[in-house]
Parts: sequence; structure tokens; C-alpha cells
Amino acid sequence: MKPEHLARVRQEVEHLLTVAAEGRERRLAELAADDAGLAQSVAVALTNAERDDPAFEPLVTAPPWTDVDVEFIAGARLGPWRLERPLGRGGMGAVWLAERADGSYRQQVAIKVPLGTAQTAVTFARFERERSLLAEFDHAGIARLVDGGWTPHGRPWLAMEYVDGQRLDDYASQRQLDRRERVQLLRAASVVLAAAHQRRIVHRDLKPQNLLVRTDGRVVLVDFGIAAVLDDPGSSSGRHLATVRYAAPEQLRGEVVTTAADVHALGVIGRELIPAGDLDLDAILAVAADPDPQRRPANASVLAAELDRWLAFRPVEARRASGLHRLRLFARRDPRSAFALGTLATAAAGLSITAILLWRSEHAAHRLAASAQLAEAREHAQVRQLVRDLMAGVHDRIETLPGAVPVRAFLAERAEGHLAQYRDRAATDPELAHEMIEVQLRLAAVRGGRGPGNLGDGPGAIRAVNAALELAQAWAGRHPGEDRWHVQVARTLRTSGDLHRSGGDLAIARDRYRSAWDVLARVGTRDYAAERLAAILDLQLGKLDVAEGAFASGRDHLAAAARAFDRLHEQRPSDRDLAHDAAMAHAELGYAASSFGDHAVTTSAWQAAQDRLAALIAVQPQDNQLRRDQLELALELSLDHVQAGRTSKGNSLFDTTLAQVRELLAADRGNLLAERLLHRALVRGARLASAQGDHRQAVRHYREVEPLLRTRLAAQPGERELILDLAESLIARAEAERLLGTTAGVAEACHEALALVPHEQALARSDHFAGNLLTMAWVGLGNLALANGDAVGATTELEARRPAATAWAERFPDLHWPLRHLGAFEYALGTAWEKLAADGARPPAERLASLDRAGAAFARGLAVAERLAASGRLHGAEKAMPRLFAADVQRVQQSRASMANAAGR
Amino acid sequence: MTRCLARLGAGDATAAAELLDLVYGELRRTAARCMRQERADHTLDPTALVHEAWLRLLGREPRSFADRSHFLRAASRAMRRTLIDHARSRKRQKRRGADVEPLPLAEWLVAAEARQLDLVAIDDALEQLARTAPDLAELVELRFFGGLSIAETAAATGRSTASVERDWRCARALLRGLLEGNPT
Repeated sequence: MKPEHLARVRQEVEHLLTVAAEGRERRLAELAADDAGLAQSVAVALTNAERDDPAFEPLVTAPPWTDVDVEFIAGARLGPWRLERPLGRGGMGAVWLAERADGSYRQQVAIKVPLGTAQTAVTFARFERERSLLAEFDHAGIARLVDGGWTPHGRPWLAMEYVDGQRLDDYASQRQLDRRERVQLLRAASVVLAAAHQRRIVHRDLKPQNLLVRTDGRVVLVDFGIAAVLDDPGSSSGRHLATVRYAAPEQLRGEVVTTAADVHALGVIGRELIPAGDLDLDAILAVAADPDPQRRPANASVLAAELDRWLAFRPVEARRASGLHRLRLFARRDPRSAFALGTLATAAAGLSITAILLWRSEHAAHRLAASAQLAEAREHAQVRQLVRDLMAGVHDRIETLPGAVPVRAFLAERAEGHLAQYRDRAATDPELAHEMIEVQLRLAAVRGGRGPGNLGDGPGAIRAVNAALELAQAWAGRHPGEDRWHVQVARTLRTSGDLHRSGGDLAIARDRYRSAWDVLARVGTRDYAAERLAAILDLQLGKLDVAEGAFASGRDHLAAAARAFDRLHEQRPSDRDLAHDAAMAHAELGYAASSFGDHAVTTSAWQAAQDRLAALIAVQPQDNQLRRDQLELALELSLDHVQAGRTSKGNSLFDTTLAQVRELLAADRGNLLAERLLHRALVRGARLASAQGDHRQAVRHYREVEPLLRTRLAAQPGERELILDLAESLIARAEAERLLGTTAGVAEACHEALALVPHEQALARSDHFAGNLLTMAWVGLGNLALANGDAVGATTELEARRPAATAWAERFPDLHWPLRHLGAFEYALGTAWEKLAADGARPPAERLASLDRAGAAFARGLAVAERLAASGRLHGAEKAMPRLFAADVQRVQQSRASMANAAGR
Repeated sequence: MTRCLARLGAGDATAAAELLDLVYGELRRTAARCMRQERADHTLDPTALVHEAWLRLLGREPRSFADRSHFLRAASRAMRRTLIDHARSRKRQKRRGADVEPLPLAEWLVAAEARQLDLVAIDDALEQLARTAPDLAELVELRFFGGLSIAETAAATGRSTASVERDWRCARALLRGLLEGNPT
């Protein structure tokens, strides 16, 4: 087709498309007579126009701009309305300003459309019913529902009267309204809401955004009933439509929502709007926002009346209500002291004597009401008995059965569900509160963190324990004189600590244990359970302290725990758990003391632990875990004997223990725990040998354990403890072999260790054990180079690693092991430089420079040692560390001076 | 959005970001959805497509949109420019014998090539069509590049589907004629 024909061709084709076949023939013939080229073009175009030409079908199907925004974009039509501009966007939907577009008259509306897809599960009938209900409701303070309908895509929309106003809170802050003016605003909102409540219409989503103040100062409620219309009762997400901040607790729980829910929202809004400080006003708002719907004003008109009274300087009800509530609590606890206590409480609350008189009549009425509540009380008793049966009767009996975890979880959840219906009463009923705490703690135990015997639902466990803690703390706060609530607080804190510890949050765990310990310390007379809890807390705190290198405080906690467990065990000699706890406390005390180099305490503690375990094994010979614990302790004890100079005693204990470990594994081949015990036994044996200078024996032990660890690691790749054990063995063997003078294989061992724990990976995991091992592997390679006479290689290698080694230590400023390893690293580096400086073949200037580097390394080592000493982390022989480093520094300075002198001469 | 559009006209830089924010989330979701409906081996990143077209829309078009139909026309034009630019650069690369750079939009071009379409030639033909029949050229832009269905085109332009359908047939035929009369 020629371009100049285009306009003609279009004209002809458009015409001919509407014409029948004969007509076309005729017209084409006419055209051909005039312009054959044009006729040809028209004929082709006509054919093309008639056939389906897939080539020009849209390149993109359903592109973004044609779909979603077609419905809700400026200019879009919804019924007679044309969308003008978006007014806002919230969790529930978007709001558009729209204008009447059918030309009938000028009107602006706010159109609300739900966000999301067309599948919003609003049934048509429900939508229509609610719509008609709202449509007939006409109040000047409530934005009317004007229209509504469905988009072609099946999404509902609502057109509301458009209110040109400002949010309540913005209005108040912008005009810097004073308290009284703010109360008037809240009162105005309450009055409007009251009108709706009279018709049993609930707003359900009151928030400052929905309370608008017109320029003339009138308060208008918008989005009335929208929550009801757009909320889908069938889906749980429907509840999210209400704004959590203002929603009443019963609303969030998905229960039936009444006018009291709106009162709650107004209470919260009022608290945010009106500055606190006026006792009467604070009480009004506190009662309005009470979590218990029963205690709130039943509807908005009651709240409006209260605010009216306040505005008129008249006494308000809320203060009396809350004061009386407190008095009743006292009365229930001890009728004899009720009057005295009531007077105190009254004085504190600033109430007059009339209130007390009022309370006395109320109290009588309360007693009368009690008989009417008897039937209800019986029902409570039955449900609670059921809960007790579920927990004590079933749960506790199956607790130790294998495979019972899901059943236990089910039981605990059922128990929780039964109790939950009385949640509000738990604030006033001590027995119920107690039971709820128990159930929550068991739920936490069953959900658990890691480890067997629970569901591995760490967050769920923490939620349960927090619920228990909240309840216990509330009671303890209200009854500071009742020890049992403080013990409950300590118990829940302890459980919380356990959960965080198993989740790896050691700092939080420590904080919880510490808080529990502090709470218990204030408890006057401790019963058996409280004493036992205190002992457990000492044990946990001690273990955490030792892990962090705070040995002194760790030792004190552990000693206290050991004493306490012994005392408790004497009281209950048949309690095996107590015996085991006592053994563990002594064992941990031994570890702490061994870190001090305090062999006397170490030996006696471990011996005590051994004795208690042996007694337990005598009555439970089939319990292999006890056997393993005992053997592990024996290994430690043998090492302690040797370090304390009791060499033969240590060696013979080790030999018998190792034999027993091998026996245990032979009897239970494939038992992973027994296998791991053998690994540890061999590593201990190697250390034992090294401590006696028998490096050959050490190397033998290491060479036995390495293939075992490699095999196990192949079956469990990535298992951190195996990796660390193997790396430790390799590095220690490298050191032992270097000391033996057999350098062959040393480098390989160090490199294998380095490959096991890639630096970046260890750093990413913040694994300080891995960091320590890496540092030692670098030291090992440096020492190896030095042993091979390659001082240049040693200094080069170590200097290259120094930033990383320093970074590791700085990364864990609270831990002592990284610092110790850094000290060892600086010592190796200083030694290497000093060795290099001693090389007489090198030019004097270079040797002087080397001595300077050596001095610098020793000085850094000294700083590290002093840091450790200053924080009390050097014990026994270690206390010499700063002195030794200082001597190194001094020696190097002297060498330098004499070398400089010699060079000067 | 109209407020945003008006502010764009007034040269307000933040309005562009705001506008993007307003629709971009929806755009991306929708784009992702239509990608899923495509062949399983479709590797186009829909975000890239939307993003590039969108940047063009805001970056080069006259910066104000009267209404939704104007917006859709502009979006279709942006899409056309995006695709044609990629097609041209692909052609250049092919001529130079260079390795064809994997462009985010390459899949769309492949789709066009699979239909034996030369996007650059179509673009030229469309320019010619626009000189004498701008309304038809726009229709092609909305349908072919903008991806609007007949019904959507009708809704966007405020016309009946029958008249859009007729014009579409005509436009398609004329375009075909122009293409075959000017082989590249």
C-alpha cells in the first residue's frame, strides 16, 4: 500500500466492512475503474480486516496498568460516582474522594473500597443487610452511608458522606487545646456515639482517624459500621480490621462485640488525647478502657454523663468504683482487717469518709449477690476440677512415657482453653490465678525450646511463660506481703531463663535468673520449694558466670547451690532428682575451682559429686546417663590429680576410667553418647599425658581419636561440637609433635584444623570457640616455622594473622578465653621476632627493627594479661602472666640497648 | 492519584515517587501474576519491565495526565518506546555481530520475533499511520503495546466495544498493508 493512499483506503474499508458482499464487489469495481492501485490496496486491506490476524494481538497480556488500577484510579466510575483523588489508605481499604458524575446534581462522597482482590469474602446478602441498616440511620454527627455497590470485578464499595474535617487528635494539638477543651471534644464524640448505641449499632473501629472535627468545631464520626460491613466474620483476618491499639480485648479475642467495645476505644483515645494528672478524669478514662467489659460503662451515654459531671465539677462515679473495687479485694482477703485497710486505701486514693460508708452498703449488697452467683460458682469449680484432672491426673502420669509429647501438649492446651474463659477473674481469684500460672508453666515446658521431651516451639513456650509471669507479677504487686506470689514470680522467671538459655540468649537468661534470685532473696520464710528454686538459680547463675570467665562470682553461686542441694537432700534422702542436682552442683563447683587452679576445692568438689553419683547408680544401675556422668567426672578428677602433683593416683584413675568407657561403648555399640564419651576420654588422656611431659602418649591418644571423629563427622557433617573437638585434637597434636621434634605432619594437622573452621564462617557465627581454635592453629603454624628455623616465615605468618586474632578477642570483650588466646598469640609473635633478631647474619639495623617488633608484641601481650588480671580472671599459676610478659619486655629492651651500643661502637 | 498527577505537572519531584509508590506495589503484584500465567520457562523479570516502562512514563512523557484514559495512553506509549528501544539496540548488536546482550526485555522481543514481527518496522509503519489516522495509530498503541483488550480499550476511550472492534480491524489491515508495502 502506498502511504498516500492511506486515508482513502481507511475510508473505503470502514465503509465496506458494514456492507454486504455484492455491495463490496460493486464498490471495488468502481474503484478499479478509477484507480487500480487504490482498489488493489482496498481489496487487500478488506481481506486482512476480515480475517483474524494473530500477529497484532497484544504483545503483553494483562499488563499491570490495565488491571488493578482500572477499577480504582482517578477518573474511574463507580455507579454514578467518579473517583477524584485518594484520601487515604489503611489496613482495611482505600478511601477516595469521589464526585457525582451523572450530572444530576453536585455532591462529594468518600468512597471506601477494600484492599486486596475481588475474593473478599463478603456475602452479598450480608452486605446488603448491613447497608440498609446503616442507610436508614441519620444523625448529624455521623457521616451517612450514601450509596454502595459492586465493581465489575466483584469488589464492594461504599460511598459515605464526605466530611471535610481534621482528625480529632490533630485538631486538638494544632489548636493547643487545654484539658477542658479536650474533654469537651471527647464528650462530643461520646454523645454522638451514644445516639448510635441507642439503636444498638456499634462502630467497631473507633480511632482518631475516624473522629473528625469540622471547621465549625462539630465532631463527626466516620466509617460507622464499615467494620461490620467489610469485616468477614468467617475469617480470622477479619479481626484485624479493628485497630489493635484501640480494640477491646474481647474484640481481639474474637468474642461478641457490644457497645462496651466502642467505650473501650473512646477510653484509649481519651487517654491519648487528654494529659494525665487529673485524678477524677484519669479514673473515668481508666474505667472506660478497662480490659473487662463488665467494668466499663455499658455504653457511650454513660461515659458522656461521666464526662458531663466532670465538666460540671461534680464528683464522678469512676473514682468510687475503682476505690470500692480495691476495698472489696481487701475485704475478701481478711474481713477483720477490711475496715482498717479500707481506710488506708481510701486515704491513699483521696476518697472521703462517705465513700467508706458507701462501700459498707456495697459490701452488704455484694454478699447478697454472692448467693445468686452460687450456681455459677459451682460451674467454675467443676471446670477447674476438670483442669486439675487433665493436668495432674493424666498429664503428669504420662509425662515420662515416650511419644507422649503431642498428647501432653494437647492436654495442656485443653486445660489452658478451659481456664481462659475465666481469664478476667484471675485478676480477683487467687486460686484461679495460681492454677493458670501452673498450666502456663506446663504449657511452656511441653512446648519447650530445643531438646527432647517438648515440641520445639520456643516462641510458643516464651509466650506461655510470659503470660504466667504477667499474672504472677500482677498478684505479687497487689499483695507485696504474700510470699507465695513472689515465689511464683521467681518460678516463672526461672522457666523463662531456662527457655532463653536453651535458645542461646544467654544474656537474657542470666537477667531472668538474676531477677528470680533477687525476688527470692526478699522472700522472708522460704518453704522447701522456694529453697530448691533458690538452689537451682544459684546453680544456673554459677554456670553462666563460669562460662563467661567470672570465676569468683561463679564459684560463690555454685558453692551456695552445692550447700543448698546437700541440705535439701538430707531432708529428703529418697528424692533422686535432688541427689542428681546435688552431684551436678558439686561437679560445676569443681570446674569453677579448677579454673582458679584451686586444687583443694576442685578435688573435694569432684569427689563429692562422684560419691553422690555412685550412690545413685547403686539404686539405678540401668541408668547409663548416670554412668556416663560419673565416668566423665572421673576423667576430670584424674586430670586434676595429675595437675595437683598426685601423678600416679591420676594415672591409675584415668586408666581404669578409660577402660570402663571402652566397656560401656562395647556393650552399647553405636550409642552416640557413649562414643562421644570415648572421644572426650581420649582427648583428656592426651592432655593428661601432655601435663606430665609425655608427648608421645599424648600423640598416641590424639591419633586414636582423630579418625573416630572424622568418621563421625562424615555421618554428621557440620556438627559443631565434632568439628571443634577434631580441630582441637589436631592443633594439640601438632603442638605435641612439634615438642617431640617430629615436624612431619604438623603443618598438615594445622591446615586441616584451619580448613575445618573457615575463618569467615566462624566469624559469621560469632563462634568464639572456633575463634580460639583458629588463633591456636595460627600459633601452631608460626611455632612450626620457627622450629624449622624459618623465623622470617614465622613472623610473616603471624603478623599477617594478627589483625584477625585481635579482632576475635575484641569481638568478645566479656569472655576470657579469647583474651587468653590472644595473649598466647602475642607471645608466639614476640618470640618469633626475638629469634629473628638473634640472627647474627642479618644487618644490625634490621635486627634492631626486629627487636622493636618483639618488644611491641610482648607489650601487647602484657596489656592483655593486665586486662585479664584487672577483671579478676587470672588464677593460680596464671597470676604470673603479667609479670612474665613484663620480664619479656624488659629483656628485649636490654638486648636492644646493648645491640645499639655495639652498633654505635 | 489525580492530585499526584497534577503535582507532576507542576514539576513536583516528590510527586513522581509518591505516584510510583501508590501504584507500583499493585503493578508489580499484577505483573508477577500474569508472568505466572505465562509459559513456565518464561524468564522475564516483570519488575524490570514495569520499572523501565514506568520510568519512561514519568521521565519523558508530558508530565500531566488529564484522566485515566490519558494515563493508559501514556503507559502504552511508554511500553512501546521501551520495547522498540530494546529492539533497535538488539538489531544494532546483531549487525555488529556482537553477542546479543541479555536484556531484561529480551523475552518480549523473542515473543515478537516468534510471530515473525519486526518491531522496528512496525514502529515505523505506525508512525506513517499516525500521520493520516492518528486515532487508529493510538488504538494500535493501546492494544498491541499497551496490552489492553477490546473491552478495556473501549472503557478507556469511552467508546462502544463494537466501534473499537471495527476500528481495530481496520487499523490492523492498514498496518499490515503498510508493512508489506515497505519491506525492511
